[in-house]
Amino acid sequence: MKKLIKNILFLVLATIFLMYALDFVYTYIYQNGIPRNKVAYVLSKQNKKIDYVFIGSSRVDNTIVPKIITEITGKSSINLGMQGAKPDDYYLMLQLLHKQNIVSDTVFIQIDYTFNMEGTSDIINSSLMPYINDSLISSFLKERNPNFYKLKYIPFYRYLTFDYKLGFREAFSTAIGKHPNINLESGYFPKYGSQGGKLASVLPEFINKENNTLNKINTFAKANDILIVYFMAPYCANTTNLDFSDKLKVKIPSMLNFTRVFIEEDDNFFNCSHLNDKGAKEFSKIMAKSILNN
Amino acid sequence: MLFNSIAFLVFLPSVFIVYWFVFKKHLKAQNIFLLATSYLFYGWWDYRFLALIAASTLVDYCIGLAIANENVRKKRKLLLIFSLVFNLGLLGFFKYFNFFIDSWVEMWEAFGIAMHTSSLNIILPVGISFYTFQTLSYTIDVYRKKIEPTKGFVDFATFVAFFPQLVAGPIERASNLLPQFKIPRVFDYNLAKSGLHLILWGLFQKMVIADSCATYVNIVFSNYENLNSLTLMTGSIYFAFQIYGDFAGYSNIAIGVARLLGFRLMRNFNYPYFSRDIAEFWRRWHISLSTWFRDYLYIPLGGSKGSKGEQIRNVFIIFVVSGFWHGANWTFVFWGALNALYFLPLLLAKNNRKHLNTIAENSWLPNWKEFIQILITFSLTCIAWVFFRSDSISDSFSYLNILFTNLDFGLQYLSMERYNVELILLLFLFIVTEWVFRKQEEPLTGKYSLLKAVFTIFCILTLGVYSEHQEFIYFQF
Repeated sequence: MKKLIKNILFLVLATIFLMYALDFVYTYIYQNGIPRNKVAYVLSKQNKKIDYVFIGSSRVDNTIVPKIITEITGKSSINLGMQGAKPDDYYLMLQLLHKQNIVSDTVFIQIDYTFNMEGTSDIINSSLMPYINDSLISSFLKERNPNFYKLKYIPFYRYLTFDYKLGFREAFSTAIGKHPNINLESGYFPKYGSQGGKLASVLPEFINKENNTLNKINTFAKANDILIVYFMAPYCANTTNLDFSDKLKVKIPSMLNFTRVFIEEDDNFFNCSHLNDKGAKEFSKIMAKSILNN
Repeated sequence: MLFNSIAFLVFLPSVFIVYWFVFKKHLKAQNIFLLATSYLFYGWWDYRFLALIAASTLVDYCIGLAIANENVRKKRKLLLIFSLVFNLGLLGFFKYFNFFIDSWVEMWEAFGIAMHTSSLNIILPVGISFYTFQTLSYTIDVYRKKIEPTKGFVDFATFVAFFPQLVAGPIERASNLLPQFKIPRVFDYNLAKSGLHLILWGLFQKMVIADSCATYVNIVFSNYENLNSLTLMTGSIYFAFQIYGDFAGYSNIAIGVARLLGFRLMRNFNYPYFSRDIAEFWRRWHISLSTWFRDYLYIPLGGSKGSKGEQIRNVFIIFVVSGFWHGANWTFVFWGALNALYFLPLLLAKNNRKHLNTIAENSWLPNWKEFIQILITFSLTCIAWVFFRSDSISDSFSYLNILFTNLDFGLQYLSMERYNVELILLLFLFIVTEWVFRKQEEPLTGKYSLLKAVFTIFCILTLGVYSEHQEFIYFQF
């Protein structure tokens, strides 16, 4: 029995050692390798000026083509939209930009049904894991992630939890300098053609009284002299409760409402709430002209 | 409770410590403790279904004793029939009720007669197919006078509910497992160490091989209409390794856990993908079920004796029933029938027991003939797995139709930066490892075993799938 217990103890100690070692190696790779997501990209830059920054969910990620914005306005721009992002994620991105001293003339934030949401998304959480010891990110996660202490203090647990985004394949790709299938300098991720099936989407029937995170964003922007412009990206015609955008406009009077700009042009949509590449290019022209006019 | 869960990580050491250190010298207390922990293990999933296990235990315990005390053949048979009806009735109700109702309705609707469906919302109790077969084997063996009935209720109840193999086997025979509850257990270092190796290897098979494949398999099978030949081919290969890693992994963990507690369970998998024909495959795949059907169905039907017609009938019955055992869907039935078709030529040519030895026993590599035989057997198995994995038989045929007619063998993007051929290297390394160690139970035993164990842990940590938590496939059976 003693021999078996010795064996088991050895294996347990080896496991703990491996977890510490792997945690160190993965963190080193992610912090020093080429950035492969937008959070890593922002954290890899410092003291930079980008005139127009676009923040939001996939409805920014697949919608804003910075190249076109820059061609028309003559100003630099970047798309920092991320799949599944929620208002808390927008706020964090704004704070990260400020922390890295990346200054901009205007930060455009896409808002829609997310006005009724608080919180953060799993995908964004995964991007933050290599930087969990950073004070800003640490306090962000502490407030929002119920597993924060496990993620921070159990070695390698953060990489196991988010292995689909930060596992071996991602660490290996980062280590060998494999570029992601998105150009992070621009940040635009195109969708081509159509998803298929009938276009349809549903917006909420009711709108919340307010969104606490947006209030925080506004306060933060004011305190740090950042100009925020909210906008709502297009939806297809077959959207239930499309008047949600009008209700939102009442809540945020300065919001640029582009909800209906392609109401007769379904071929611009990948699906009802996401533009395809053709639509994104058209919309970016509209957006750029709107910037010039305002 | 899943073997690859945090709860089990706490459960197993606790059971081990109490079992060996507190109850070491008290066999009865050890058995009662095992029974209690087994019920806890099962109840962790859904405590309400403990009543089913308890009922099945009570019925077969009483019937076993009654059969042994009865000398009149007719009455003994009647008691056996009661046990069969009770156990198979429970299994039939929980597993097949809705299937029969739906099939009945669909059959009439095919003739244009609309019927009202009234299927029930029945939850399938985890492991019911496994423990039902285990208790049945006991009653049948007592009836056949192959074993004496047990008088110790706790021993019998623990035999039925023994947690390492309760929910997904191996399906143990009473003649092997039951006597082990009756003799004092002495801690055996070598047995426990081999158990530890099996647990680690099983975790590797499940978390690295099966779960990695699952991610790709799910994408391929849910979107097969839009994919090319190469992707569908890799999809079926990935599923072959998913189900192998999943089920062999579970079996290895189960056998390993039992060994830590001083029990020897039967081997359930013996490198099935190195088989040279389908008959050999079925001697190496899910051995406890194959031998169960052989002993309690195939041989009583006449086996390979009798006329050609009877032989063909027997083969089809055993394979179709085996398919149906896996699940209440025509896809499983078809999968079973397809395997019968594969098996039949071997039986009729009396070649079904040709490959009983270890492949390439005295050489490093198989010869060309053996290599081609393995390749053909594996390909046939992969085709059959398509039926096993698909949602319907028509989906299976569409899948195979595209696979064989699309003829585009290019690299294809699946999802989340994953491409169709990416797992081939991992599977190749896995196959090489299994090939090198094919003469032993698992690769970790032998020279440098501690080093190999640490490397396995390293692989589980780095290559294992944690976020897309996959349940063991065979739980649903």
